[in-house]
Amino acid sequence: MLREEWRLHRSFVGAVGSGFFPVMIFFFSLVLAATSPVLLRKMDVSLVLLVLHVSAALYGLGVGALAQIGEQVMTRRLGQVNMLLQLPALQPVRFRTVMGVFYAKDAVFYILYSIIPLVGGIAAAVPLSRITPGGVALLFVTVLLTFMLGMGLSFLLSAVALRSRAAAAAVALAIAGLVALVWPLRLLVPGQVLLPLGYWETQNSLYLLSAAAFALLLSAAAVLLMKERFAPPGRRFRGALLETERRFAFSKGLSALVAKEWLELRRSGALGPVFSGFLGPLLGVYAVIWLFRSGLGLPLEFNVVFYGGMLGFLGLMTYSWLTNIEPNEFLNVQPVGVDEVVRAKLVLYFLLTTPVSLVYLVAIGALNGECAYLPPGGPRGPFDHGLRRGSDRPHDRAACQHDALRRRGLGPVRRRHRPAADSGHAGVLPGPHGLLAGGGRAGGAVGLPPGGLEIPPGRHRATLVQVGLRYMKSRGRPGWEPAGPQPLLRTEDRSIGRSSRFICLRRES
Amino acid sequence: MPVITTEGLGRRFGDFEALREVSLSVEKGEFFGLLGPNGAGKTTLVRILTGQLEPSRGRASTMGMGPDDPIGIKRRIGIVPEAESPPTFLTAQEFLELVCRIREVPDVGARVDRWLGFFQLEDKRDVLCRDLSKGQRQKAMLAAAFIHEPELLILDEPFINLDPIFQRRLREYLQGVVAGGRTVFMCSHILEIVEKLCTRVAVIHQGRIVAQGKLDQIRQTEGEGLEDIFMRLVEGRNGDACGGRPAG
Repeated sequence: MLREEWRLHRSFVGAVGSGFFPVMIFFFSLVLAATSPVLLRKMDVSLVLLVLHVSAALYGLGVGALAQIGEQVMTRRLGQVNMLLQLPALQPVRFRTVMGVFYAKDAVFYILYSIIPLVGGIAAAVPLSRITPGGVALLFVTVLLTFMLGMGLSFLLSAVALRSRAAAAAVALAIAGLVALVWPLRLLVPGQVLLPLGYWETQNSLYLLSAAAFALLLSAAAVLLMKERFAPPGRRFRGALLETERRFAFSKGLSALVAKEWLELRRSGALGPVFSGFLGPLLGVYAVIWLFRSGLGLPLEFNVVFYGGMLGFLGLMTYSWLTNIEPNEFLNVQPVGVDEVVRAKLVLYFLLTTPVSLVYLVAIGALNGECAYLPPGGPRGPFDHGLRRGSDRPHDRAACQHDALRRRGLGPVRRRHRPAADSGHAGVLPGPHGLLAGGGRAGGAVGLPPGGLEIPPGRHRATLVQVGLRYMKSRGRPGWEPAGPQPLLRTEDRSIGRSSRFICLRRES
Repeated sequence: MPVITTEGLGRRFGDFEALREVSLSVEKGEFFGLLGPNGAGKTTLVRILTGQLEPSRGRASTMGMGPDDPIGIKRRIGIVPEAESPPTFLTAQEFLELVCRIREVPDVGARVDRWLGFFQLEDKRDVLCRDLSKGQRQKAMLAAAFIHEPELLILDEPFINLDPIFQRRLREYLQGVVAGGRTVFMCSHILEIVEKLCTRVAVIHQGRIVAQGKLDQIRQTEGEGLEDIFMRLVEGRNGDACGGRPAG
């Protein structure tokens, strides 16, 4: 089964892609652990442990969920008998037995594939950090147990869902309730729910023993509750292809293929898992970041552009699943090009993901006060009043911004020969209180010239405006709590560039 | 006028040479049979002729088109592949409708009804292809190859999984196709059917054509049946053949 799992991974992303993942995790954790002496100056070690264990639990949950989608899709792709998981259909072996082995295989595979590289990276950083080998070993145990708890829970939910969806929903609600007791209700501390983390909080070994017992209990319950299931009964469907094709008529020559893809996606039962496999992690990413930022006060600076990147990453996985639902062998003998099949899948992919992506990005833009980032391309967006249109070249953009400042009486502006991210004055847009200047990371998003822009000292004042308010409040810095627009700093103060997202530039009276 | 020609055709898969110097010609209106033991290269040849695979060397032409125009070839011909693999989540009716829409043929409803009727699949029209039996899936694949009434049919083991009633029905249909001036190119292991139907045959062994022509032309003795011819050509050339006994 391990060999089968590895070959399956290779068939999706190739040997290099599959092999790269653990290497990437190893180096990522190595770098983080090696820089921990610096990181821990600003962050409490308990916070780092919390992040690590919550991530391990979510990863365990994700592995279980992905295994469910994968098993469904692969069963369809390879038939009922090709996967070892389907052995009970032909051989005198119980489905529960095979499922138990399948579960153990998944655990071993993902421990080897990601948990060991993660802890290995930390272990490799021992000489460079203050982490001790004993601490690494203990961390391995607690992260492993947390991962197993997440995975066991996910498998248990799958097993319960096969018997009763209502019961599965009740279990999920109970878990959500338990999490709510930690946050936002704060009636429990995280270690009382995430037992391995409790060990770090109390140094009481009972937490480790309880975690191991719970992980075993969840896994055993999942295996025991698993239904003996073989081929589902045959289903009938009234002919719907031609009618569906008419609905996709906008895709012109591809409409028949798009209709086929849509019907297959719906009837295979993969629509739900594929859709939730896209939306779930998106919401999860936002929820985790929001939790860490708002609940724990961590300064995580992920803007809407980052979430755009996540859309692309998760979208790629969704597309990958779409291509694996049906092998389409019969099309080899029909006058259809591979490009047409790919385009039909892309049409369906865009139809499925675009509404979600759009609502997601707009909602996050609104929640973060970053709607100005949404129109891509900066100078051509609807927020670019007063800027010259029609050119994407950096020096033209600089000229546009220069002109905009001049027209507002804020010139002259001269070019600065330092990276824009370090400058306090980057992309400039007109705002309700004057000119908005994006600083720091924001500058990149609104389109700034390669050298950055500098507004000469003494000519105008910088005022923090609404867009930046939320962020400044969360930092809780004294002197950065504006009650409405107010003078802040002169523009020669470079701390603006490192600290603010948007400032309003005003001519000094 | 030939509808299929190959000259010095070869195909390699890494170190393995699946086809070597294959030269043959199939005339319009012929019922041509390609015979050979397992792994002889039949399916590779069919895949090249139907535009699914490019040759490593030599020339191939189907309906005047080379392997560089696979869509053109597939548009003009009907193909039954070796494995019966209709789409898992479409019903039998939808599968045939999809083929009609891809091939842009008129009267979709009437054609689909006719072929569902021909193969007695009317009561299975709303059943997902996944839930059809092997024989029913094979019938769906045959119907998909015949539905646009092409000039040339290339069939890889078309009789497999069919019961005797439908073997006979298919045989009669194919004879009618050839009688109507169209062409059939068929690979089959069922020598009895090949002997009954084919006007010309070729025997392929280890990637080479070892005999081709009318049955009378490749017979060595009076009354030699196709099975005898096949055994002579294949076993006679294969020194390690086990002569009907299990190897080892």
